[in-house]
Amino acid sequence: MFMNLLGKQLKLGFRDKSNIFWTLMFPVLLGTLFYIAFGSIYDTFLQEPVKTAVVFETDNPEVISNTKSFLEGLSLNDGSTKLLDISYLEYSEAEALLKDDEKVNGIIKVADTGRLSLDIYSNGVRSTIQQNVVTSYNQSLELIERTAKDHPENLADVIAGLQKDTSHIAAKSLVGDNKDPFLTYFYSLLSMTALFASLSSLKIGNRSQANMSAVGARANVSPVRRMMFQATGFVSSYIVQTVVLEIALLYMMFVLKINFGGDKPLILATAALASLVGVSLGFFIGNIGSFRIEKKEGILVAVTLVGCSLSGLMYGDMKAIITEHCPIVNKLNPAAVISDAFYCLNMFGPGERYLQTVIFMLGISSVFIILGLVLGRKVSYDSV
Amino acid sequence: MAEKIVEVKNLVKRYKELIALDNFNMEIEKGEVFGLLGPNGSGKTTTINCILSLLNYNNGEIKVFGEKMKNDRYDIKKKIGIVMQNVAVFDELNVYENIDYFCGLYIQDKQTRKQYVEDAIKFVGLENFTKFKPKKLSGGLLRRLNIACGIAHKPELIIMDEPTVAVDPQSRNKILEGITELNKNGATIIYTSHYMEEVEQICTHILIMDKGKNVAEGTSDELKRSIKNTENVIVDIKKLDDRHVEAIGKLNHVYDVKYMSDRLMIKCAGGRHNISHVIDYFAQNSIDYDRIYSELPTLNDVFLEITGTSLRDQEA
Repeated sequence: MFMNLLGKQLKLGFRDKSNIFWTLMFPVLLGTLFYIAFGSIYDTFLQEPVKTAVVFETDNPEVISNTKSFLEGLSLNDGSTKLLDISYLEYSEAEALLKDDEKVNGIIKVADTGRLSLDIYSNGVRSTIQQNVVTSYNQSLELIERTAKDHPENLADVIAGLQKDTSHIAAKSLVGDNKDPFLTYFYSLLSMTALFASLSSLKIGNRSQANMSAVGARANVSPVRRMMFQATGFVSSYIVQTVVLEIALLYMMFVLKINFGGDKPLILATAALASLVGVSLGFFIGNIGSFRIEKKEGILVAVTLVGCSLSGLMYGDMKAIITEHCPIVNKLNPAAVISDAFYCLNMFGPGERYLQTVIFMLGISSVFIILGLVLGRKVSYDSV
Repeated sequence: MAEKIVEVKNLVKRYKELIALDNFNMEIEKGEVFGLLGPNGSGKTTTINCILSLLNYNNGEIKVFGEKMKNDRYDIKKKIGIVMQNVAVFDELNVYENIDYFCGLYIQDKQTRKQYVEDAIKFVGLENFTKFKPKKLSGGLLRRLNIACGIAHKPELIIMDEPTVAVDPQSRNKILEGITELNKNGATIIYTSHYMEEVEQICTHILIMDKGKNVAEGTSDELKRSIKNTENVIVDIKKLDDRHVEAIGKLNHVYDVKYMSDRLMIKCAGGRHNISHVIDYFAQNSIDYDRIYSELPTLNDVFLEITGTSLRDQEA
């Protein structure tokens, strides 16, 4: 019975045109659009260095020398183009130029401690690159200082490693390396696709509950247990949505040549897990109450869109802003969690942080599944 | 004594303050086409949903095939087929696949199922539409698909809840012929409908319910005999003064007269040759008329007399 029903549920899932559009065609179209839009911005950017004013707030010759050496050494992928077009100015001059975005895109201030800070006039691609340079430099400096203090014997190795690593900052590209700031949009797009999977699993409850649809009533008068409908519905929905999400992901990886970083099999596995979160969410919502499926779809679309907006679908830095001001939102937002899983895999590899995210995704899925089962196990109804 | 397929005893179902079923009783014997009639909101669908164990009920007992019906009595459910009031099919599947899906819930063996599905398609006359998706079917064909999905597994008890709603006369005829054939093949059928002529045509036993109660039951003839109205005399007449209408109302055995839209409707209770009394009255008063004829009461008359003529949907 299980296989018979599963086969038919799979047929239903793969033929659900509206669902296939939202979970396959929509991400493919939006992904292509992102690629065209951001690819061209990045290409423009890549052709000319970022105009940067550097202001020394110190007279320490060692600090000045080290900073100059670092900033002037940054180059683009091929090594022939400088990343930053640097002007050493007084702050007042730099500030005047900053207000005219064409002349200077940001001011990097060098403190007496050697730390860098950034003043920008407006957010954008160039300021994001400058911010990355500043952050990376400060982190390196801190690491060097700490190593010098705690393990001076390792200092040479650390510096060598950092020199290698700093080249990353300059080697960013939409289709080349894995630290592109625009990747956030693709992470959010994958989150959205995974959460849209919920629109498919939403129908499981609808199709197996007598008080929700005529088909549900017919299922309930048959000699098949409701749990069988729920189980086959869930498995089929998961298979369909995972296949669809993987196709969308493969399109981004191999047609658009978006480099998500990390191991490809792990990226695909993360997508499969993301799909589980989406399908579980829909399964849970689908089994709540007896109100119309259109209302439930509305709830899911709202949850997905708001969640994805907060995870950076519309504004790439949104997740960082929320992390800074209200980190709990990112922990509870399924879209942010999914997006974070891809981010962790890319930035840190399959380490502890990635594992934590995976555990959280499994946990949230389990909670949704259990709640869905509890709500869906009703035997008879007060009203049909 | 015939085997009882469905027994409903003192069934009570409340929706908050509203009593949908009020100590309702019903017995259906094997081989019957059992017509369940009642105005909107009388409790027909609630009764069916209780029998199918879809609904909780407050009191009473329901037995199907002699066993107490419960939601987990899958052995009983296996022998029941249901044709819903609302069409219950999948838009994503074609005609054949839809029937196969629902038949597959009952019949595991592939070969047997294939045969059953083909039989059902033939039975409802959808042979030329097997590859059609439901959205491509007309209302009548869709209803026939709905029926095929409910009966493909060859159930012993078939419950049909208004299966001919919004169906053209040709499709309706096809459906009614099918129901009669299903019954001939041994199925017991519960049939609800608002179309009295349908019920009169196919049902061997009829129960009229109102306000959640069993208010009358029997064969069509028994029900007709049970009411006051025994004959209707109808006269097509262009002009008739109120005084004549009043006078006709006082003729022997006449208990109700209505004159509207150039038609005089005279209801008689008992007596013979009522039509000749009316003809005599017209002759004596030199009243011209176009046509006069007499009709025996129909099931519709039975229904209206028992349940009244007020609009139920407008009642609180």
